[in-house]
Amino acid sequence: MRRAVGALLRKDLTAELRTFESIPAMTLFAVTTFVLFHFGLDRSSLEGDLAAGVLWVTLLFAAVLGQNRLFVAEEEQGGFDGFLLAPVDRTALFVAKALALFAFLVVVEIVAVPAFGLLLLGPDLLDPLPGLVLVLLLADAGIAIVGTLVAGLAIRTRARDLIAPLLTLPLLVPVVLAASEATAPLLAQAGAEGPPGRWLAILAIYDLTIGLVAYGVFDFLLED
Amino acid sequence: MQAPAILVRDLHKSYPSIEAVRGIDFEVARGEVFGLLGPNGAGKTTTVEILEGYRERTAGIVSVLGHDPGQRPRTLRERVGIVLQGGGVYRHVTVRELLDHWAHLYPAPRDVDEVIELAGLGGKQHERTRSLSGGQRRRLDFALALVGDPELIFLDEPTTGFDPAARRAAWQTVRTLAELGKTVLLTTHYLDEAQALCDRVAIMKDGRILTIGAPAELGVGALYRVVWRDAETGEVQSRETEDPTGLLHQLTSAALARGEPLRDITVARPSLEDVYLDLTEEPSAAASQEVRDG
Repeated sequence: MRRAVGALLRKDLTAELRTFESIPAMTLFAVTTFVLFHFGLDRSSLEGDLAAGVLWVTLLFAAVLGQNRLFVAEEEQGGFDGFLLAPVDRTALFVAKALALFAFLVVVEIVAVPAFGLLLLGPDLLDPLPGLVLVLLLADAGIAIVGTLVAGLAIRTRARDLIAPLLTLPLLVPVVLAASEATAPLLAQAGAEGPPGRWLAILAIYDLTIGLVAYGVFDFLLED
Repeated sequence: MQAPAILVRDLHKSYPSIEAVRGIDFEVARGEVFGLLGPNGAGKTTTVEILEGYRERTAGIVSVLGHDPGQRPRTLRERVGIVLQGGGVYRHVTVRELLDHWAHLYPAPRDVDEVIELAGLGGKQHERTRSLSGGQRRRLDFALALVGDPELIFLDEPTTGFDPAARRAAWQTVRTLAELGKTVLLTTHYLDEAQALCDRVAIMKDGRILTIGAPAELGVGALYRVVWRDAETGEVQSRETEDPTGLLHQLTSAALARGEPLRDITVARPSLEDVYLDLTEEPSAAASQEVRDG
């Protein structure tokens, strides 16, 4: 399975490097949204709960953009047919796609988080960075798993661009909630505190649970 | 004796409105190139899709390389190649990258360089797949079916839409597969293709197999057709006979006696095309009317 996941992931990353269909759009969306918040909130800087909320809602919507493109090549270029004929575990496709979306999110955040710090954040971003990276990675894992599962479900429907966000956003409420709660103390004006362990644990448990559910049902999703 | 690559017994497939396959039986030996012929709606593609495991049968026994394809077992998927028309060809990767990608999904793939050569894509391996011509794309489809080094290959209408040069190239690839000892099951509308490639063919119509055998043998037992041009009227005459020697003697003697040449004379057994048309041709409206009136 590792061999198949590696091949599928390599193919997706190669295609993205050559087409730039997802990452630039996601990044541009995130940065543009920060600019809009900057003017829309009429505040030169944010901190604490509000800063965390703005950051996570923006990243979530940026992720939905990438999620919509995740299976397009498989659907439009017959990749599903070829994959279903191949003697590999169906969940290899799920794992590869989730890893691809996770990688896209990490790349987007490398640009978007500093942009957030520059455009909106009051407190310094460097101090809370290690804690923030931990929260980002845990939340990205949840977003990638749910995003991949829903994208696989929606790709064969006519209204996939509508269905994917409608299903993804409610499923990711726990991630946004836990990530915001874990991020808020990091972005406090009074000085960065460590991320609360309880919310990190909730994120980790959510990732594990939804990961197992997705791993279990993806096979049937693909067959049908 | 080796078990057949494909065994089909009393296969039925029904849809709510139609019975697409109505109890067919055939076997395909290992290393054989077998053709399913028939007009649109004959049930060829349904049959092939059942054998590929894409479609569930309603009744009957089907064995592909000793497995029930309806279960889609992984061991069977390792040993079967299917030419998907354009399926799995990602546009932003090169020919080599694409083949390398699919090769990684098989446990014992054929060497990618060898596959590229077999498919005649040697000069195109570093080109992006989206820049290939139609004929090259079809060769790439063949290459994708070969990359897992399958024992059995399904070709469903493999040259539909090809220009003549691409068709010949595809035929050569099928011949190469046969030389490699692969079993090939192909469906086609083109009788010249079946005649050129297949060891045996089955002609299907309305979900049934009408006849089965080697293309050259399907006309055996039928009458010889002698055709010539009448010297006086210039019209083409034809007659069917069991004894062409006697008829030719009679015709040439009469022509010599009249001092006239016997032009455009041919003696032929019914070709695969004749047999096919004879078996599958719909009765004309006039004939139907006659039957009704009669």
